[in-house]
Amino acid sequence: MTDTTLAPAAAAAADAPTSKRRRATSFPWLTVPAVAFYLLFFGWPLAQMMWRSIWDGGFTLTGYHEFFTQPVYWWVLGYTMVIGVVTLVLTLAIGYPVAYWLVRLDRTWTVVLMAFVLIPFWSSGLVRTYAWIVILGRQGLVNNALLGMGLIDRPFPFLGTHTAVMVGLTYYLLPYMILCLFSVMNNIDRNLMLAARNLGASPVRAFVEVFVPLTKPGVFAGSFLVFMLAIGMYITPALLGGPEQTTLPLVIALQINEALDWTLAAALSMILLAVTIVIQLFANRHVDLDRMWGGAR
Amino acid sequence: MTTRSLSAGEIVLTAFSVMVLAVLIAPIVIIVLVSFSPSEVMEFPPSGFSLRWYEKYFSDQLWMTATHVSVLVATLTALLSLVLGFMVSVALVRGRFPGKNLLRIFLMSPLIIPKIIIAVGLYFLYVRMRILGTTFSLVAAHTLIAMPYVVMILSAALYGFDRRLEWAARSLGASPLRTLRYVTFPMLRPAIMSAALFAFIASFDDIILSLFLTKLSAPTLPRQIWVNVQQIIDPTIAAVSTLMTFISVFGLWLVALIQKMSTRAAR
Repeated sequence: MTDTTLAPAAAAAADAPTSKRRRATSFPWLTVPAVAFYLLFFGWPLAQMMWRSIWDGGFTLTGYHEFFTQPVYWWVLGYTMVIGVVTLVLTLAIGYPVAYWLVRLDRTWTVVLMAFVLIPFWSSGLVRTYAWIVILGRQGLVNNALLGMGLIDRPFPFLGTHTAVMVGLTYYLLPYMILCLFSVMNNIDRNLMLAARNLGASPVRAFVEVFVPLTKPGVFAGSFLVFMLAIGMYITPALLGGPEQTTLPLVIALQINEALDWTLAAALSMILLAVTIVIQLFANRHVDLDRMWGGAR
Repeated sequence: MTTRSLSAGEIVLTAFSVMVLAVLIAPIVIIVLVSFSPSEVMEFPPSGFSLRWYEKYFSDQLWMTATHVSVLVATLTALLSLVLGFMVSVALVRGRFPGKNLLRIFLMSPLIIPKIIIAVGLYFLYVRMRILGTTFSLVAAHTLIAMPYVVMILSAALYGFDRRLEWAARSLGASPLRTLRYVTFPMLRPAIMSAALFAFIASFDDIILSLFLTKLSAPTLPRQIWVNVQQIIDPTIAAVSTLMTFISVFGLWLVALIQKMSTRAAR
């Protein structure tokens, strides 16, 4: 290989790592295993599912027909979207002040208190949802305490309500929102706020007109992330909700596990996928994805 | 920090934030405490200290099978995603070929598509291929959701990699493989360890893919929790949850530590 002989000269020439004198090495073959893997276990299943949604021994649209003609599916889709929006609004309303508070603390305090956000963020979602069953369930802590005190004579059904699902989802997704907001707020130059103050702005005005607009990327990224995760969530509505809290992922699972209607399951999955892609395309204009994943880690 | 008088707004903000942070951590603290409770029913605060639920977990055949499956699958997932992820990351960072950006988006997409869709798609595929419930099929599924993290971490590290070190080794007569073994890998060790931990935990904590793609006779730990949550309410699940939380938090804390140390070393 000529590389060997050229290397010292190239190294000398390429003083800065950003030098444009990049050597014409090309490694497309290294992508083959990963791409083959993705095509087999990602592309193919999705294509097959798309096919399955219109083909059941012959061309059929029964899955889509059922979705578009049965009001119950519209209701489920609507409920799923409402859940997504409410979770987004709640996590943003709670997370924004908390991130703002965290970012202004002393460095040491920020590090210590970030653990309160990171430990839930790092724990398994199932465990965190189970925690709410322990707290709110029929034989849970709150009911046992109330029964023990004689305030109620039979367990109060906290679970299986809209509130339980919203609490579970907000609890689950709040760390994502806080981390997204925090990573953006942390990079804002605080001198900008001081400058605004020096120029005569009130603290409130400096906050609203200088700080808030600068946090927009974090708000968009956090909202996008939380919404997408909320509408695709399966375990939280399944464990904390009841029949009335049925979301699109739950209906899909139901078709597979109990109704055994694969055509409908495939059609419903395609609809959820379509919703996801539409939101994705919309978000691409506002959200810097690289920054988002950097922030969410 | 200069001292300043606290305004009413500041006090409200602090009180609110402290309360939110307390609520964030409370459920996890409660699970941990309940897992050490001697009582059959959920009680808080616990009336004493006991390890009976941990003993029950370690002596129960089903829980042990599930643990074995989870650890095995997570380990294999970490290995497979590292191999695939390392090769494709090198190509992404160092290669020049058309469609690179498209490829990057393709590699990241399992992160953005709802997992339930991936689970259903793989379920159809595995049923048709008659490999539903095999260890490899679950490893493949988990590798798919681990890959975005692995590619993200490794390509970030490769971007910051000083290639002149490799060229120096090559010009001193090292073969490409020797260079890889003695220069590239040691330099990338922190990133490789982080990526492996991330992949392990992505697999270890997964519930949705496990729910669709495992057999009931050989479930993963989260699936076994799932089955128990809906039937038996005794603190054994709390004990298992405590152990799982410990593993995830410890693993990801290690990632954070490794990354902090490697950025410090780079300075």
